[in-house]
Amino acid sequence: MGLFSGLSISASGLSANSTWMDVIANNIANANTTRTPQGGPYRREEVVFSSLPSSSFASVLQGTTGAQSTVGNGVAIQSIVQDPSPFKLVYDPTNPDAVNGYVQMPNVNTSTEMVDLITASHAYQANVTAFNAAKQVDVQALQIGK
Amino acid sequence: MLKYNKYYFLDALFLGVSLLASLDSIVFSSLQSALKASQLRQEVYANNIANANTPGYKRQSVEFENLLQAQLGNVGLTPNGSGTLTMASNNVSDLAGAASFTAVSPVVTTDQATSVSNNGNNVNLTAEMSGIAQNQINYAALVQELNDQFGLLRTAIMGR
Repeated sequence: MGLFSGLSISASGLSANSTWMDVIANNIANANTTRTPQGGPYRREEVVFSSLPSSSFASVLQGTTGAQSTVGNGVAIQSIVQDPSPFKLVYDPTNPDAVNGYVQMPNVNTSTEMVDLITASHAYQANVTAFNAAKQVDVQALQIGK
Repeated sequence: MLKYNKYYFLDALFLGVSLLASLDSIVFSSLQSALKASQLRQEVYANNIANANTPGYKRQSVEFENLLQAQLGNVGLTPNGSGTLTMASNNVSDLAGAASFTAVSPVVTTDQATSVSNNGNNVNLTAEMSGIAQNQINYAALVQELNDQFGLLRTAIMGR
C-alpha cells in the first residue's frame, strides 16, 4: 500500500482495456478478410483478462498465513486467443476465393464487436475516473499539516 | 497553606496537560488509521474497477467503520460513540480504553457470495464508482479534520 499503488492499479486497467479496444478494432477491420498469412479467412480474436495478485511481501505473507484477503495489483491481459467458432459460409460465386460458389467469411459479428467496444470504452472511462480519484487522494495527503 | 494550594494547582495543571497530550495522540492515531483505511479502500475500488471484466473475479471491500464501532462497544460506549469513558483514578493510563481505538486496522474482505454476471464476476461498476466518489470526499474530510487538530495544537504551542 504505497502512495502510487492506487494509480498503478488503475493504470493496469487502462492498459488492459486499451489493448481490448485494439483487438476489437482489428476484428472489425478484418470483418471481410478472406486471406491471411496462416491461410484461410481471418479468425476473430478475443482477450483473456486475468486479475493480478498482490506482490508486496506484507500482503503475500498475510494471504498465506491468515484467511484475510489482500488487495490485488490490478488486471492484465493474459493472452489473446482465437475464437474457434465456425466461419460463415456466404454464397458469392464472383469472389476469387469461392469454392463451389461459396466463400468462407471470417467469424466476426460486427454487432458483437460494437457491443464489446462500448463495454471496453466504458471500462476505460471508469478506470480514468478511478485514476483521478487516486490522484486527488494523493494530492490531499500532501496537504496534511499545511 | 498557600504553598500547598499552589502545588495542588500545578499538579492539576500537569495532569490536565498530560491528559490532553495523551488524548491528542489518540486522536491523531485514530485519524491516521482512518486515513489508512480510506487509502486502502481507494485501492480496493480501483482494483474492482480494473477487474470489472475479468471472468471469475470477486469484488473486494474494506471493513473499518464496523470494526471501530465494535471496539466502541468493547470499551463500554454506545455504538454511536456516546456515553462516558470513566476515569477511576486521576491517571493518564485510565485512557487505555480509548487508546484501544487506535489498534483497529482496516480489513479487506472478498465477496464470494453474489454473482451478477454470467462469467462469475460480481463487480457492479455503478456501485464501485459511487463508492470511489464517496471515499474521495471522506478522505478530504479526514485530511481537513487532521489539519484542524494541527491548528489546535499550533494554538496551544504559539498562543493566538
